[in-house]
Amino acid sequence: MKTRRRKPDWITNLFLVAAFTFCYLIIYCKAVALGYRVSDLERTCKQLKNWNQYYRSQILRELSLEKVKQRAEKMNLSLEIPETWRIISLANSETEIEKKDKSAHAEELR
Amino acid sequence: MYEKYSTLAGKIQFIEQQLPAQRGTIYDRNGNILAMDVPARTLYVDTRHIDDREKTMKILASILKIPVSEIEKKFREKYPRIKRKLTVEEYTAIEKEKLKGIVFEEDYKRVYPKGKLACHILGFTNVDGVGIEGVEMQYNDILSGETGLITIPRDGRGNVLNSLSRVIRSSVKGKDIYLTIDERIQQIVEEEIEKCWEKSCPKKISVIAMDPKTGEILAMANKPDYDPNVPSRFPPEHRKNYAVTDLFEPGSIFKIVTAAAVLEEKKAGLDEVFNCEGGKWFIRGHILHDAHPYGPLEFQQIIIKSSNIGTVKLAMRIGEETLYQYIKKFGFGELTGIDLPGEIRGILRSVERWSDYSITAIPIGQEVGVTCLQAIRAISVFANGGYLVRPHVLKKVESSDSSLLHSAVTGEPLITSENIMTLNSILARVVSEEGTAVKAKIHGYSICGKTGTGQKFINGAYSHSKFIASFLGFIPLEDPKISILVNVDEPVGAYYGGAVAAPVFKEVAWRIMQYMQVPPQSTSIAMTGFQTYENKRTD
Repeated sequence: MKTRRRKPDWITNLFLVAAFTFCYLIIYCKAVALGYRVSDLERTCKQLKNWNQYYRSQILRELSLEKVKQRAEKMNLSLEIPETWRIISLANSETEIEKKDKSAHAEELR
Repeated sequence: MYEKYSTLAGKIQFIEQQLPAQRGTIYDRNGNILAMDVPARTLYVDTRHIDDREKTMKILASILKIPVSEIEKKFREKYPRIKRKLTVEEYTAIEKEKLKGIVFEEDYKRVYPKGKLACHILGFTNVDGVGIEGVEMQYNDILSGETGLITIPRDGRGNVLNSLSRVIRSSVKGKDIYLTIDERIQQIVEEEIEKCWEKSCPKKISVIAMDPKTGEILAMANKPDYDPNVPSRFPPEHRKNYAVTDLFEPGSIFKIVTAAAVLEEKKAGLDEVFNCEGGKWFIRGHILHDAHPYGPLEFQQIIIKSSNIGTVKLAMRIGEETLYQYIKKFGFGELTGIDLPGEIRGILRSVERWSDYSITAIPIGQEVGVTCLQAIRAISVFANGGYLVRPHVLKKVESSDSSLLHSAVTGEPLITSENIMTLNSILARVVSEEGTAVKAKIHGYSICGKTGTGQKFINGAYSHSKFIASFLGFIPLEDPKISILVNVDEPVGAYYGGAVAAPVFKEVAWRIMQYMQVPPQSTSIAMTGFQTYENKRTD
C-alpha cells in the first residue's frame, strides 16, 4: 500500500505564522490609522466645542438688554412696561372644573 | 551624576509649557450665564521660519487691526508675542492664510455676555485670568482651575516640534458657581436706576434688593457703572461697588432703630403724645429742626411724619447706652459679612466718645456712617420676624455637597413679634397719604418703609444744598418677599427721600411683584373656577 507523503510540520507552522503576522500587521496598521483619525476627530471636536462656546457667548451678548435696546432704537420700536397686568390662577382643582364643564378656559376680562 | 546630566539634557531637548485652565462659569440663581470663558489663542511668530516677512506682517496687521509699524517693531525679536487673547474669528482667519512661522498657544478669555449687567457684583479678571474685583475676586480660588503641563521636544537646531508635544498633566476646569442674583430682577433694578439717573442727575445711586428671610441678594446695582468686558475704559470710581464700600449718613431711615428700641424697652406708649415744638427746638446748645412744623404728635405719628424732634425726645427716654446697644444689635458699626470684597464697617462711635449733642443727632441718623447693606439688613429684621440675616451672593458651587453655603438667619430675634407687628403697622402708614412716602405706594399692596433725607457733611458742617435721598422698605407686608433699598446721592432738584428714592422703590417693587407673580391683596376678583388679580401701576 502506497502511503501519502505528509507535508512537514514546519511548513504548516510557517504558513500559519505568516498568515497570523500578516493579519496582525494589517490590524495593527488599521489601529494606528484609526488612532490618527480619532486624534484628528478629537481635534475637530475640540475646535467645534470652542466655536460653540464662542457663538454661545455671542448669542448671549446679542440677547442682553443693552443690545436689545440698541436694536429696538434702530428699528424705532419702543420697549414699554405695560400699565396693567393680570395673574390668573386656578381656584379649584382641575378635576372639579372638568366635572362641571369638561373644558377649562382662562380668559382675561376686559 | 546620571540624573544631573539627564535633567540638563531634558532642559535642552524639551520645553515645558503650561496649559491654561478654563475658569468656572458664573450663573445667576436660575442658571443664566453671567460670566464665562471662551477659547482664545495667544499668537507668537517664529521669525526665523517666516517665508515672506512683508506679506506676513500685512496679513497679521489687517486681521488683528494692529498698525503694520507696530508689528514690524515686534518682528525685530526672534520669537515675539504678537497678541494675547485672539478671538476664534481672528485665530481662524490667520490659520486659513497658512503662514509659516505662526505659533498659537491655547488660552481663554473671560467674557461677560450681559455687558454691564451686575458688573459690580461680578467684578472682572485681569489679562492673566485672575479675579481682581467682585465675585471674581472673592471666589477666585473656586473659579480658577488647575493649569496643566505639556513638554514639547526641540530638534538639534532648537526648532520647536509642536506636533510631538506630550501632555504631562491635563488642565482642570475651575468650578462653576451659582449666585443668588436673579438676572431679571437685576435688569429691572438697573433699568429703574437708569431712569432715576436721567431724571435726578445725581452723583451716584445704589439699589439693593434682598430676600429678607434668607439674606440672599437678588439684585445689587450702582450708577455710575462699567462694562467688565473692557474695565480699563472706565475710570476707577465707576468700578466701585458703592453699596458695599461706601458709607453715608442715613438720616431718617435710622429712626426705625430708635423706634424699635423705644418699643422694646417699653419706654413710650404708641398713643403717647410728644410735643414737637412747632418744628424748632433749642436743645443742648443747638437748634433742632423738623422739615415741617408739628405740634403735639403721638409716638406712631412721629415715625409716620418723620419728626426729628419727636424722635430725639423718644431716644432721650431710653438713654444713650441703651440706644447704642440697639444700634449695635441691628448690626451697625460691624461688617455684615457679605461675600464681596471691600466691605466697610461704617462709623459708630462707642458711647464714651459721644458728645453731649450726640443723643440729639444719632437717633435721627446723624453722626453715624452706615453702608447700604447694613441699612437693608436692618429693615429686613422687621420683615423676617426679628432676625439679623447675613447678606450673601453665593448660592451654590457646582458639584458641592452643600447647596446652601450660608445659614439663613443668625442668633436670637432682636425684637419680639408683637413689637414687630406694631412697628410694621407704623411703617405701613409711612407709605400712605398721611406718611412721607406716598410716592412708594402701589395699589393693592401693603408696603412697609421709611424715607430718609440726609444732609451731607462737608468741610465740618452739614450742607444745605447736598443731600442723600433714600428709601428703605419691604413688600408685601403680609408675607414679605423682598426688601429694597434705594440710595440717591446728591440728586439735583427734588431731594427728599420721599420724592426721589420712593418712586424708584415703587417702580422696582411693582415690576418685581409682577415677575414673582405675587398678586395684590386688595383687588382680587373671584370668578367661578378662577381667581383673577389685576393691578395698575398708577392709582
